[in-house]
Amino acid sequence: MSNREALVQVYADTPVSQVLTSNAYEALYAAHGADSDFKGERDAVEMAKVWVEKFLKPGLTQQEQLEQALALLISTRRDRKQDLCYALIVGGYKSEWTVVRQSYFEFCWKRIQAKFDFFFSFTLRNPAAPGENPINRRYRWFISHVLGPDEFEQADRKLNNLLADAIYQRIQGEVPDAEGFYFPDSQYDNSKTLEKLENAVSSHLVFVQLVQRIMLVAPRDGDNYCFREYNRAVELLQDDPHKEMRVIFILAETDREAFKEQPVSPSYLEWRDHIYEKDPPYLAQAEFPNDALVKELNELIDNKVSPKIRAALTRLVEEAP
Amino acid sequence: MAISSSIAVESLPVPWELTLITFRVFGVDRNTLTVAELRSHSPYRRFVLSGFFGIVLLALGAVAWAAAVWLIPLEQPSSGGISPFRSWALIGRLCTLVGPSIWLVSGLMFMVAMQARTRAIAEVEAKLVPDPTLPDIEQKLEQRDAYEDVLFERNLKDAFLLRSFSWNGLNFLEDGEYRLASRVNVLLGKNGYGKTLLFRTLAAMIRRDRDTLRRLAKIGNPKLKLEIIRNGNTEEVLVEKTRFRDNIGGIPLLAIPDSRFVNRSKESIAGSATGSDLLSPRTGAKHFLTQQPYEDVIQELLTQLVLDYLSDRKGLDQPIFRLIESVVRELTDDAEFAFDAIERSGRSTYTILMRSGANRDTPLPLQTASQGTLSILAIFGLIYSFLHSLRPDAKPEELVKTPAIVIIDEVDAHLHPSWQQKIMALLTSRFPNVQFIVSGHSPVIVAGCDRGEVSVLRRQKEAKGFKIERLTEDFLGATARDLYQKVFEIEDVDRLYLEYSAKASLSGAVENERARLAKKVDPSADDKAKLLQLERESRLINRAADARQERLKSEDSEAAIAQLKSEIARLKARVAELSSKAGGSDRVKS
Repeated sequence: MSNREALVQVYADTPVSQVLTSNAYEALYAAHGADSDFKGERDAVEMAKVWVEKFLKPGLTQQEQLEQALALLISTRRDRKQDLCYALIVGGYKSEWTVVRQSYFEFCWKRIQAKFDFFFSFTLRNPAAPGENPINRRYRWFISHVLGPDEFEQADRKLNNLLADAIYQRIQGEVPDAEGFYFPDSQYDNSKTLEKLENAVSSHLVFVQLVQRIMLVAPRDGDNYCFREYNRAVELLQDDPHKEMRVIFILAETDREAFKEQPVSPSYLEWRDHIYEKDPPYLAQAEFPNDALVKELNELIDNKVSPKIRAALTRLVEEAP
Repeated sequence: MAISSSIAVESLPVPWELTLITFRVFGVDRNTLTVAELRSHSPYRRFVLSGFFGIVLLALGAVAWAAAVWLIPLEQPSSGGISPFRSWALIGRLCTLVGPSIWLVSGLMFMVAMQARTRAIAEVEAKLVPDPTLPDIEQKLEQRDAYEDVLFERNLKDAFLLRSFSWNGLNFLEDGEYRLASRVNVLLGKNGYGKTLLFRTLAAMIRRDRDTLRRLAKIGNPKLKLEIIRNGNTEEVLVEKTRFRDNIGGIPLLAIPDSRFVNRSKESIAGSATGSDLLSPRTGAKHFLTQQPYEDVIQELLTQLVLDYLSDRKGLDQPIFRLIESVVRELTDDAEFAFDAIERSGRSTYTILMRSGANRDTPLPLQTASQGTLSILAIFGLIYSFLHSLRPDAKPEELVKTPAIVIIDEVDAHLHPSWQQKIMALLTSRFPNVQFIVSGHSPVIVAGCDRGEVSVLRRQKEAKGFKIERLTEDFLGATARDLYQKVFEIEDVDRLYLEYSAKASLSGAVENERARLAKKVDPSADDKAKLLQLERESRLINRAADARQERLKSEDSEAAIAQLKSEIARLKARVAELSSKAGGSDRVKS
């Protein structure tokens, strides 16, 4: 048993206020106190236990304990203490819970460990080559507002989808703890693109797709990455009762209604219908100065997209048995 | 000369072409003929040898035959009619007269064939790429350097901006991309996380330094891409297998290493230029890339100050002196800081004297200033000199607006925290069109940075190395505590605390032993020493216990805040879900 495991065992069984005077700790210190990593590990485990005690206060019911345990693990995502909190919960509380709660806890733990909170899918295809990607022109005012005028002016507007940049940044601002997978432009080594997309799409909580009509047109050569990403995401979510909550489309087109009549190849029909059925948030064009519109678009992302990303985890707490 | 591959023989004059056709009879395809094959091809050799022996035999036969036909008598047979021998002899004699002509023609054709062969070999040899020899390599390198010089000269006139630097397969960094803002880029990270390595790789890309790139990327097969904007147009510098795959050429760059150490024991400054070209656009990143000591460059800068002073009647009333004075005054809040004079201190050496609030009556040599002041002088002086080397004819007010790219490694080194807080704002205000890429250890330098301008190198939980993370928030009005927590996630505590907080369980035993020794009427020297040691132990254990209580309280508060935030997030998500179910419109009217 490593020092960490031994310390977790002692701390899981004893409140922080009493642990240093407990016999178990004295014995442990006598045996391992001289080890080089013991003191640092002790401090780390102790700090994690403070968090566990704060969230899982005495007197909670089993369900409340489970809720708080999940809330704690969500709060400590991207934090070194998360693993310790999990170990302390397993050592100090989990065994007291019913089997259903234990298995729900383990199911949630796997989900909380997902590498990405959201996968952001969008296209870099430029239907009107040559010249800048029209999406950049159509949302010029919104993009400049979110990314800054310099960023807009200096960007390569042919190669980049700056609207995607702006939405991504807006989401990150609203849910700063959330980590998204976002492929801003073609990477140098395109042979790895598919592998990276596969890895990312396989480990995310919410699938967000910025929809443009060009996405529903099969490319002349090569893959339709957006379609591939969508398919993979839907395939992974098929057993989830909340799968619809975990798929978000954002429509960015010149005309919302025209999108519904978009002719598509048979293989894309299901995809288009899915987008259509969800009646996705629609980003009206913001090419010319219009601060009121920019405000509305920001609110749309803040209220319709960001909370759903956040909810992918908080729902786990809500639904604790 | 080694011949290594086959090559098609170019078209030849018609007679030679016709002659070479005969090669095909012997299985030689001239279109894939190599010189080696041409020389050693057995059918061809057989052709030549058999032709030679054939001619010899033919000549011998012809002589024998000629002798025979001329010896046959031509008299009429007694029986009358024509003798068959006589007819053959007549034909034979006729042939001996015509034969040499035919032989002569055959010989001429053979000579033509030999010439064609020689010509074909020469042609193939001229087309084949020989294995390079050292002089060849040197010549090619010279040609390449000359070409790069031309590109660099062209680039000197253009305005550049870096947009992004991406890499695959660097052994010290996880694959990633460093997106660069147009004015300020601050890269933070702990020691050993690869900030300098990343900057050196970036600098090598910008300056097209193949040697440094090879050294930095010697393992694996890294692929690097640098997206730049030249006069508003996007271009890409590409490196694969440590070779450049583009024709952009080296871009002027000033890269200042962390060791901006000014030798304070050397108060005299040479009054003549070293001629070593240390402050030119070509050498702006040289020391950073090669990791040579930077002292020479700083000394050259000081010499340049002396030369400026001596060569211009304005003395100290020159832009570079005014710039340095204003920066130091702003940083130090010492309105009296000023260059006082430059005096001759030896036959060809000078001393730069300066005044400040502390020595307003007695000017002191510049080297007596703090290392922080000298570091600031070096940074601002070098940038000014670099811009001057880019636009030597520009007026001072235009010069500081010259677009350029400047890398500063550990910009916060030697600086007081309050200076660290101001340094980026000073740099951008004095040089508004310079794109700064700086690294540092102190989160304080990001104070006032806008979103996207700060990136952090972090160790990943499951990754092989370090990863670069671009922070999306701005740092306007951020407090020092915010900065430390957000940027560096500082949680580590000191070694003494860890040691003695873990010993809390020994507190009772230490106290008992101390009491026992204290009660001794006549303690030995050892007892006294041990008592002193126990008293220290006891004091530190108690102190650590107090510190522990403080830490527990602080951690408890943080946990409480996190719990509240978690509850708020949960409620927000629920509200959003409910409003979505209630059919809230997702539409925005334009």
